Amino acid sequence: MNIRNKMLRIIRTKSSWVGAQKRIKNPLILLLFLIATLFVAYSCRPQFHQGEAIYLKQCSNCHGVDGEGLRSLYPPLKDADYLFENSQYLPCIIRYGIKDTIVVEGKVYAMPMTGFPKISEVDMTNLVNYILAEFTSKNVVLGLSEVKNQLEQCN
Amino acid sequence: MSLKINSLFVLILLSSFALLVACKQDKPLPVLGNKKKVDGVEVDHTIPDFSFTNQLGNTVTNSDFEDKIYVADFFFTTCPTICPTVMSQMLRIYDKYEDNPQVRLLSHTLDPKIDSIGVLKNYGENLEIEAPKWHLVTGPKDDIHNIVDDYMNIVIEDPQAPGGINHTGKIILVDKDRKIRSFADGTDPEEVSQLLLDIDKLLNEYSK
Repeated sequence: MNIRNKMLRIIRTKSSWVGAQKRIKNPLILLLFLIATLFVAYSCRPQFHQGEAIYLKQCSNCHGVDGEGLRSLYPPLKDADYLFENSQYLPCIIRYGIKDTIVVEGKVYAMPMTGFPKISEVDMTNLVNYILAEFTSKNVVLGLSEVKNQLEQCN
Repeated sequence: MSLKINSLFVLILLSSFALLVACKQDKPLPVLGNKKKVDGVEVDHTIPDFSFTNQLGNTVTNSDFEDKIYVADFFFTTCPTICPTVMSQMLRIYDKYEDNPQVRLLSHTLDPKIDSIGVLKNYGENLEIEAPKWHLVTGPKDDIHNIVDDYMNIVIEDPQAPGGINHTGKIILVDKDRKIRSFADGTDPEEVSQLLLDIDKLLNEYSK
């Protein structure tokens, strides 16, 4: 407790603030640099706008705009173990849906998922890449041929 | 300098006071729906008598909403389009007024063939909601489809539509006299936020 108070006092004293100001000659430059770094980092992050548009139209009704799901009715996608572990089956799941009961993050989901057989392979690729980038920590970008290949192996 | 700040302070104080007065004189919620002429006298639109069955197999009629205000909507459990979104918005209302016995919710299935009592029970459990706070009701299809119009919604059976039924997702606020006082598009969270304010306003009417 005593040490904490001392540290707080040191932080709060004017002298240390002046010292900091001297060290960083112009805090505005530092701030601008920080903003620029953040901006570059953000725009370098792969984004899948076409996939996002399909997700918002076809998937977000049930799974939520942020992949949060809906109570015990519809499972979440965001950071969900089921999605992570079954990511290679994602194109098949989207095309044919799920009839079985599944367990996601320890919760049982029994409502069948409708399949979307009409989604083209190109749209599927965009959608899968969006879902994986947005809701999983998998750092992969699938090509059209890979998605086609996965679709051929659906059972 | 200090005079400037002082006068600014007074200005803010005055304008917030004016705003407060304006709020106090806020108009009550309107009565919505087409007025009918009965014996030459114009009467407000009211929700007609109904009798449906909820997720527990209990009969639900107008008397379950006596001395209560309620929000109503239409859905079906296999609806892949707007229903889940509307349900998530209905949940906001449920959660906000969970402990207020004056507020109830009523969701009608448009697909009673599939949505039996058991299916609705399951759906309610998965939605983590309970009757009588929130009734999920089923009944003869014609009875439900007929009352859709009274709640200012639209339903059309359309084999081309996902799930075979095309319908609107309006959430309707009904007062203690069966009159419609506000509504929101259940697919628009911002409209539902306004509806939540309107519910407060309506509750306020009865607390005076």
